[in-house]
Amino acid sequence: MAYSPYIEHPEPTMRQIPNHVFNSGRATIIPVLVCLMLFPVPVTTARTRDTVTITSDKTAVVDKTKGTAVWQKNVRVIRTSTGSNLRSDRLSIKRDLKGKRINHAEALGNVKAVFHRQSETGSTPLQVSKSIVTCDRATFDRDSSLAELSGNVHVQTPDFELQADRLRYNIQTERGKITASPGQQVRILFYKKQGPSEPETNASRSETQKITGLADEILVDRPAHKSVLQGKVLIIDHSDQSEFKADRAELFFDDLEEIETIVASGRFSMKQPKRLSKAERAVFEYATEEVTLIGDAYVKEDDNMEVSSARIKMYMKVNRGIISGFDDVPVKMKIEIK
Amino acid sequence: MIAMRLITSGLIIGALLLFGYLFWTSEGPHTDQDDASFAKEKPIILQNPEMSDFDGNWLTMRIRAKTARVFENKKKTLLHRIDGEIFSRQESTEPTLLFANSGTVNGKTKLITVSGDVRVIFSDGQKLFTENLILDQKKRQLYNKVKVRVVSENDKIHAERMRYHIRTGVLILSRPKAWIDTGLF
Repeated sequence: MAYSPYIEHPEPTMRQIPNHVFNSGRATIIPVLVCLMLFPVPVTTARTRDTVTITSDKTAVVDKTKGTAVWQKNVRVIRTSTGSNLRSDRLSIKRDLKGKRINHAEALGNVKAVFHRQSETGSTPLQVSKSIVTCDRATFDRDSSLAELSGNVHVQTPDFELQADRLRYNIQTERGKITASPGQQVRILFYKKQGPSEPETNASRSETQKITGLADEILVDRPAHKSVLQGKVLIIDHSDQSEFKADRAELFFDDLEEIETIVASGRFSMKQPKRLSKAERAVFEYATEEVTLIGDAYVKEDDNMEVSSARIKMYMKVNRGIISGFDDVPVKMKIEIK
Repeated sequence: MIAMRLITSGLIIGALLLFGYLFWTSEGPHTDQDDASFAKEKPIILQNPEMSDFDGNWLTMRIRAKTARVFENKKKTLLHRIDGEIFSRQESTEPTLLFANSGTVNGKTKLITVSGDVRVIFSDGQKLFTENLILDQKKRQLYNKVKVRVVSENDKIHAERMRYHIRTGVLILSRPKAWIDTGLF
């Protein structure tokens, strides 16, 4: 028998879609970056005083009857406290007629927002992270609580990148949708978290740490602690060249916004070095690092051993091998003896 | 030959200076108080005058001054310590208020030029501060080409110049820079 249930493999494989990547906290910060520039105080939280400066090379047209102000040509918005800034060709703001609140804002043309975020947790010193958002148009509407980025949307944070055509996010319901233009896919790219012994630097970030994801669209549902990638989902872990494909992948997060479970469904297939898996559905449990393949489950390992069943459970890491079938479900195993 | 060159150069410089002078005088608000020709005419002096302008039955504006010197021949009136109201067509809208140290009413052009600590309080409570301002009664516009500061409860805008369309309530500020207090968003 050539089969060993514990095939050694030097690298971990498709185990990690790093938990922090699809974490809903990050996913939700992206769509509101631009509106944060103009609406730095979240709708539902206590207000803090801050100043935003707006300049433009041409004019500001203030319509007192409509409560609008339109800034034209090389518009720059800077949030004084953090230095976060936004640039665009045109910026329009609509206040309510009492002039107290901004109801609608639109940045149009060559929109670029640089968002500085300070974080201090426990004993760690103050850290400033920089995120850059570019797009053709960014809007925020207070009545509908809708923030929207559209046209060549590109989001870059220290450990995350997103390319899409449109990003809509409701700040009130905390639900959003990221879509691509016809014929294109939403592309995400992120980096695995490094251990504490490896302080993150640009030099240390190599190709091997990169994870790429493609999908027709991504849905974000923060109250449900859930994000959904759907339509020709492809996730590639560049560290070991493993990848999985599915029609849909649902990501569930715990209270710490770390990935708890992924449910991939619809023509699921996963290629890992020395292992090929297929099923109708696959459930990734990160606490136990196990994957359950459900419905026409099939695993081919090391080119000489095939397992098929209605359900198969296996470890995410190839080098930990296949666990088993289930008591009530027979497993069919085919081993090639050389 | 040298003389010809000097003359040519002189003519060019002269033309430039003349152009600059004409351009300058047509650009900025003209302060008629400095016009020496006023000295030739003896004005009628009025204390605490009030001038009203009507468009049909509609009172478009009312200007008060501490003193007014009326030059009838020139159809100009020099005002001192001005405050005025510019009324909207809509009765429910508060009038725009205007204050300045001095001003000139030009009866021919229908331009009122005010200067010195000029303050405008718009109907929405927003205030505008500047040093010179022209009120065009025909076009119903307030405009200038000097620095302005627009202040409201939540924000402050500095600009190089402004134009305000009284009919439409549209204020255009050139090369603006705004400071917005986000605490009141």
